Amino acid sequence: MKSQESAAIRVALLGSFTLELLARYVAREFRNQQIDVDLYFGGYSQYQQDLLDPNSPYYRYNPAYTLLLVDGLDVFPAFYFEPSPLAERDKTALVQERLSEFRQLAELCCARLPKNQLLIGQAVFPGRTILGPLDWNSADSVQEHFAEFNAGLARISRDLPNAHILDLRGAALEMGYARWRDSRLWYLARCRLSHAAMEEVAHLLVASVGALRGKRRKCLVLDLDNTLWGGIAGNDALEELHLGPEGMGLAFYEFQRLIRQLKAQGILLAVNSKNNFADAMEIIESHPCMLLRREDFAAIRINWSDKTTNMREISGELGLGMDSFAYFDDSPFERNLMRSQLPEVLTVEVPTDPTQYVETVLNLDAFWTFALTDDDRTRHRKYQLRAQRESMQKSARSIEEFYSSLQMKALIRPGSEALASRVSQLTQRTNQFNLTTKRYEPGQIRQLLADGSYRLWVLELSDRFGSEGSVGVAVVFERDGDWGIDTFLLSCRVIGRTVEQAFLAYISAEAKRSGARRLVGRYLPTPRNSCVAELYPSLGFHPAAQPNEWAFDLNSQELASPPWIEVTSRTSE
Amino acid sequence: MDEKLRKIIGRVLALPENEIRPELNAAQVERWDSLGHLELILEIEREFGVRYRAADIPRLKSVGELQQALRTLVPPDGTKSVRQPS
Repeated sequence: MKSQESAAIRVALLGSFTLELLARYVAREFRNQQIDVDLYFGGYSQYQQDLLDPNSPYYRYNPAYTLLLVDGLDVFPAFYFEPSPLAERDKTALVQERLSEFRQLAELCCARLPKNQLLIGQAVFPGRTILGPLDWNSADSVQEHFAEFNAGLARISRDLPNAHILDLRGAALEMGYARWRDSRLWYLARCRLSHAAMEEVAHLLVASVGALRGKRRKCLVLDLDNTLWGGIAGNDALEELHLGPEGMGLAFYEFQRLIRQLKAQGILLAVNSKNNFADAMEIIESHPCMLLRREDFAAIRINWSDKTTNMREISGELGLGMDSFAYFDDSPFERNLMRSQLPEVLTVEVPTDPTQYVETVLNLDAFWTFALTDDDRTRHRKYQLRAQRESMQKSARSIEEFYSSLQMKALIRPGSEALASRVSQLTQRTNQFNLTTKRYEPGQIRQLLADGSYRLWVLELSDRFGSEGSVGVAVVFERDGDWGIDTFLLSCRVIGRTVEQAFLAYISAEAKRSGARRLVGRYLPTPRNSCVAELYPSLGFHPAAQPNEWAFDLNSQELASPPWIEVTSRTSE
Repeated sequence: MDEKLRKIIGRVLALPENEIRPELNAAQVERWDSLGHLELILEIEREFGVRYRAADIPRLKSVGELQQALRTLVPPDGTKSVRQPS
């Protein structure tokens, strides 16, 4: 037993065949990944004894991670060598028997070593048996029993929080069974794995330990030209880009599908690209086959800056350290730059042939996790909201420039017979920006016009794009030295342009000129007009005597008109 | 002797390259045990793209024997590696 003071991660290998050679590959792979490791490996086919006996050297070793490796030929030798004497029900029973045994072993392991993470390697079976076409086609068939065993192992691991499946069956399929095994190593050393398979198992084990230790990369940063699409933004027309169902475009399209799936698995996406912003955004927002759109990216840097500068900015914007990022760029120059300047970023080695992008992303283990957390599921939304708030703050400086650029002109006229029907129409139709929602017939408007205690104004708005016509109505009445606002409304066409402030500033100036003390307004809530609930207080009105009543003191306060609206008035028609 | 072979042997058995002579055999090197031997064989196979016959593997217990067997698998002109049927 090694010293407990060591900071090295304790990893145990248990299995149905000789593990000593594999242990050397595993040690080398941990070393290559700069992870300090202390290894234990069980004897040839000693895994049952190691797991059953509470005083076994395995339990005394007290590992943090255990890989249990059983080869299909070791678990079910009869299936491979002489399946015919076995009846269908014998095979089913044998599989269930072995599964009960493995369930017991896994439960014991998890109970006795509560801090250990148990990785159960799926059993690898040959793709072809001596049965030939009798396999799958006759009662002698064994392939479905192999599959059932692995499905059973997965059920066991799902029932135990600290047990996980390491899919060696899938790894062997990817490599090919003929390469996975090396009969010479079996006959000379009782090892079930080839040189290539041992390298692969070592790689998968180290990557899995990394995933279980939470070393997952959180964000994939992508280039655009010849990465997300084939061709050059701004150089090739939209329809000339390779992206979509035709020819090579499919390689980029399918690559994007996988990237979008990574997002569903909790990986943030970002763009870091050298392009004219407008050229690239046109593709992202309007190419019909683009799967990844603006809202899929938590951060976007499209400019002519150094990509490492952009990477630092993205890191700042998302609040993630460099070791949270993986970077995918087809340009060897940019990759070299990133590797030399920001070595903590995982710069993916991208093949020169885009048809290999799909397998490249499939082979990335940097995004592995054995279980999705709520954090993973909500990460994108969280970062998106954060980015939106920041961009609103940034653009607050330019909102005034935006208003100024509109060149708005407001014409405020007193109500008249000629305007009565338009005013009536506005009171009938305006639901949102309407403080009191009083509906008036044209005849009632005419009565107000004839009543000396009421005043009525209509606001017309135009900007550099043309005239909006009559879009605002205000009705006020005099009472006890105050001006009360009976009606104040704006057509929804002009909401959000500060027109209300210009209109009220004009009315308050008129009120002051005529000697009024206060301007008093009311907000009568309806299901539709909550957008103006805070209008009066936002312009400096104070709460008045009645609920929902707001007063502006004309002697001590002044309501300024926004400088970007040119206000003219006519005293009479 | 072949420089590439010398480098592989030095790396796998953790030996200085000047100690690697044809006469050097497994009994003289601590790390050249049965597993070290397999590691060495697999590494040579990977680097040269060859495959030793299973029956030959346990017999090639000196640098000279390894080199000699490698010559039968890689022709002297080095243009083409001949693989044993697997």
